[in-house]
Order: sequence, then C-alpha cells, then structure tokens
Amino acid sequence: MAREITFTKSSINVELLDQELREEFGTLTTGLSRRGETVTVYMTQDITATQLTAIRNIIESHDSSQKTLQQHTQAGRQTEIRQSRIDFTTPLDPTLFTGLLGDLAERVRWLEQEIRDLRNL
Amino acid sequence: MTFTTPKTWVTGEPLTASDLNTYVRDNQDALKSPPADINNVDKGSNITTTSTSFVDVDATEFSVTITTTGGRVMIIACFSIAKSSSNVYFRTVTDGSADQADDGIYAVKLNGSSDIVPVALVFWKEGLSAGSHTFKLQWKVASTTATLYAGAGSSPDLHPQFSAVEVS
Repeated sequence: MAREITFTKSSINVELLDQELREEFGTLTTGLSRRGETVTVYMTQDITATQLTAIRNIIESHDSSQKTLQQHTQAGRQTEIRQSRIDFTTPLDPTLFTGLLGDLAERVRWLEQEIRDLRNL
Repeated sequence: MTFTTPKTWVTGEPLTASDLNTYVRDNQDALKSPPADINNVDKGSNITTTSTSFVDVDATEFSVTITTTGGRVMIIACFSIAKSSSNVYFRTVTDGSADQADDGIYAVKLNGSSDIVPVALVFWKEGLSAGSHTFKLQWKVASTTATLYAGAGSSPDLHPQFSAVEVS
C-alpha cells in the first residue's frame, strides 16, 4: 500500500533530495513534493521502522547548498554562456573573410542578429 | 436548495401557492445558487514535486467538497507551471478515484528554465449520485521537477483557483 511521509525542512534542493532518496530506495519511492517547509516523500508501499529512520536521516543530513551533477553541468553551461556574451559583444565582421568563408561569416552574423533579437539583447 | 422537475399544468388547473413556491421560486433559487465550492489558493509558498506517480497537488488547497443533487459537476483549475524540462501530467480525482486513466487529462512541457505556462483545466464529472463528493487535483512528472505557483510572496506571485460546481 502506497504511503506518504511528511517532514519539515526549512531549505531543500528538491532535485538533489529526490536523487538522494532514489539512490537509497530505488523504485520504492516515486519522488517528493515540497510545499513551503513541508516535504512529503512518496513510497510505493508500507515501509519498516528502519527505512523510516533512513528517510529521516537523509532529510536531516540533506545539504541544500549542494548540487546534483546535472545542476553542476547546467550551472557550468550558464557560466560559459555568460562569459561568451562578454567575449563576443562585437558582431562578426564578414568583410574580414573571402569566398565561401565570407558567405559563412555572413550567415553567422545573421544568426547572431536573430538570436539577439529573440533575446531582446 | 433542490431543483424539482417542473410539473405540467393542464387547462383550468388553479395556480396554487405551493406549486408556485416549489416549481418557480425554489427552482429559481436552486439555479441561482447551485452547489459550489471555490478555493482561492494563497499558500505563502510555491509547490514543487518530483513524483513520477500521481499525487495530490495539495490535499487541502486543491480539494473541494460539495453536496450535489445528482447532476453533472464541472471541475475547474486555473494555475501556472514553471521549471520543468519534462512532461507534467494532471488528473482530477473524485472521492479518491481517478477520473481519467493513464496519464490523466492534461500534459504541460516547458522548453526553458524561465518559461511559465498557464493552465486552465476543465473537466465534466458525470454519473454522480446525490450527496457529498470531494474533488481533488493531482499531478506527476515524467522526470525532473515541476513547480506550481501558489502565492509564494515573491515575483511572480500567482494565485491559483480550484473549484467545483454542479451544473445540470
């Protein structure tokens, strides 16, 4: 029988806590919900006292300042994008190139303009 | 106030106060104020889930109860979703039983981390017996997380509404 267990935790990284619970319980958990400081963990069946303690320990030791690997990757990608915006503020000058390379540079400049327009930059 | 199927008067039949009260006054009262329950949500925080099986969005705020007279019920939910790169599914639940099979009635997917999608969900529930019935909204994600704005107090400070009304 499915079971919901509710805890109170002032700050959580939802994706990280979800990952920590799934690493421990696998398919025994289907995830969690957060409503303010209330955290509800969803289990697919009744659990033992030991498992309940394990969930409690995971939640108590959870450090919301840490990130999942995916969040790290995403943060790194955002940092790279921000840096590239700083590095490439000047539009590409197609006249610096000739022949097919010049045509390609024209296309790249056009794409830059389209992206700036889409992003209201 | 219960709606009573109007009677058919015959020629020469006197109009009585009882009939007028039953078939005109009471029926108009019933149509003017049908059984309804409306929750305006202001939780002071948003709601986030990672659940890959259907769970209550919020067992209190996204739950309404009405005492029906046996007619159809319209369930309405208006809210906004953010922060999901996978499908988010919704379904309605009546008296603890899902109204839709499989992945529910609605799916939402966002393309960017800053996207917000408004959802206006309407479902007709038919075949209910007269009496008290509780309606809830449930959701799940295909993966990752989903956030439903519920009056966090910070921008965007959005306030969903969940309601049910007997319409028949």
